Amino acid sequence: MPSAEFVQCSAIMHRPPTHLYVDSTVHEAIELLIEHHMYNVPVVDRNEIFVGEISVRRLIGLLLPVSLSMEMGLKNTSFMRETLVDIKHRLGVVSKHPIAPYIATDITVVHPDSPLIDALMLLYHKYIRIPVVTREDGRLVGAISLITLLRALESLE
Amino acid sequence: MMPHHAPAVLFGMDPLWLSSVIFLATYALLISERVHRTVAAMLGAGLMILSGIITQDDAFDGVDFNTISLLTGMMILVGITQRTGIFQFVAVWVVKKARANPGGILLTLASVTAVFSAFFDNVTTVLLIVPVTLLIVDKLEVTPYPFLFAEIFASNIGGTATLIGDPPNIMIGSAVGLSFTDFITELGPVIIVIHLAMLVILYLRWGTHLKTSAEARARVMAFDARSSITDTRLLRQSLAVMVIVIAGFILGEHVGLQSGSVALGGAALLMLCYTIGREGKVQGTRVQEVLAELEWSTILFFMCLFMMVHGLKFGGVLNALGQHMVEFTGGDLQVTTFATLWLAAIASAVIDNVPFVATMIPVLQSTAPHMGGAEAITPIWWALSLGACLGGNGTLVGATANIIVAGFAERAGHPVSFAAFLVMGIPVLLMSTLIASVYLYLRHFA
Repeated sequence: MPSAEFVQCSAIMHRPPTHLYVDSTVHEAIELLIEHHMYNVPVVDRNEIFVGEISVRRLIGLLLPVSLSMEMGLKNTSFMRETLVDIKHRLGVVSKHPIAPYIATDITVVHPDSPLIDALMLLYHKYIRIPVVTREDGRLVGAISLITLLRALESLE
Repeated sequence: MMPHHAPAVLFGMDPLWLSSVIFLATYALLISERVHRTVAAMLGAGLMILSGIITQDDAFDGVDFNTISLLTGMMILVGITQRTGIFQFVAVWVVKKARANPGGILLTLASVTAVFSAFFDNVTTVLLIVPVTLLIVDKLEVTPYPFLFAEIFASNIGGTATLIGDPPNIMIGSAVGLSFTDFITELGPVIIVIHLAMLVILYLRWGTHLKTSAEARARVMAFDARSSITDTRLLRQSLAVMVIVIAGFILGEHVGLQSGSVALGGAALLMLCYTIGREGKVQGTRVQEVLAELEWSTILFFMCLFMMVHGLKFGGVLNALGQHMVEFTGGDLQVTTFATLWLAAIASAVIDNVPFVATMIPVLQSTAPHMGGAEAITPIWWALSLGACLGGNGTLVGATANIIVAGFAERAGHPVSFAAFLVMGIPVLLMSTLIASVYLYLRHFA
């Protein structure tokens, strides 16, 4: 990596990133999240075009009664008494469902030629991991996280 | 009332026609729902001023600040009270009292919704009751539709019973000088009858078909209502302030204290309870949180609406409409009362009842001299209130609370279609308006 030049995202991004396909099931998404200890997983279509992300938060929502997880849902839940069987039952209902309805599509991305500072600012503000997609056709080509960046800095030494 | 000065109306146009065009164009925007209602009202009020029909000072004079204060004060009171978990507590408590029997839950949750709607605004009530309802029906594995429909109907019916239950009542009470006691004694009895009749219709249609398992009922019975209360101290304070406010509404009329002042005074007292004894920064955060939850768009909508209606008044439109109304009804109080009731019910089923009532109040006031004066036309105000509030049950778009419930239902995977609602909404509307007609006849004309 050229240390004294302005750095673009492509120079440090992690590739190929772990990802899911739009037709993957909720069960497959959970397996991947457990295996890789990830909070957000990028999702692509079968042409590797970036579609969005599936997040741990969204999957946790599937474990809750819909009246709690929906927009403007119930906030005060202390009167409820839930068992693990109740939660497992709800997971069982959706585990074979495709992840498509649960994908967040309004995800901020960077491009391989974007300045690294753009990705750094996004990480600073709220994101854990930023997908890198091609400017031309939106293909997912990499991802940048704090770990990716720290490893790049470490390599300078 | 005619203007006290000669306004310089744009291009010398006839103020009557110009104000009518502005008002109708704004109404068209409101009905089309392509523009947010607050933006539409702001445009309408702005055009009334810019076209010279009214001056800015006239526009401000037109705003009924008693209504604005009452709305704002009640919003603050509800905003703080809901933080205590009292709405969830009562909902879960009555469900357990009904032994988690679906038919019993249908009746009790509808009644709780009606009572809350009588003292708090309908939208807040359904925002807090419907998610609990969806959770309970999910646990019971029964269809949510009867419960959601019952809560829509109950919120509109219950809101009719008091001065503070529904915005049309706040406007009517403020404009005409009808008190909290007037509303509850005049409308309370008929609202109880209408609510019971609505429950009978719903129970006959759905109540006997709602079946669940003992296991599902046990899941609901395991709920602990007391755990819903998140802040016991604040709950006690909120209930005490609500009692003071209602006492203020009842007693205030005897000492010249208007309802807006009572509500704002109560809001200030509860804000004090909610913040006092905290660090300065925490106080600031709490005040900001409460104020941020106020429905500023609704408050602005009301203000602009008042300005627009004032423009119509200055343009001479309301006098002309009043004249036509007197010609149509022959100046007969009974005919005018029933015409107002049914017109308000039908109109409010399809359009927002707030602009409708805001327009009708000055029109009806202008008919008073032809029917024996302001005192004599009191039955017309009850007819307007009953029609405008109960009319909201006619269609899915008849009231904001209906739309909120439909939104919840859709997000929970149980969409409510316009036609499906109509099948129940129209019979409930007709039944309630019919009962209201009989009541008004027996009370004022028999």
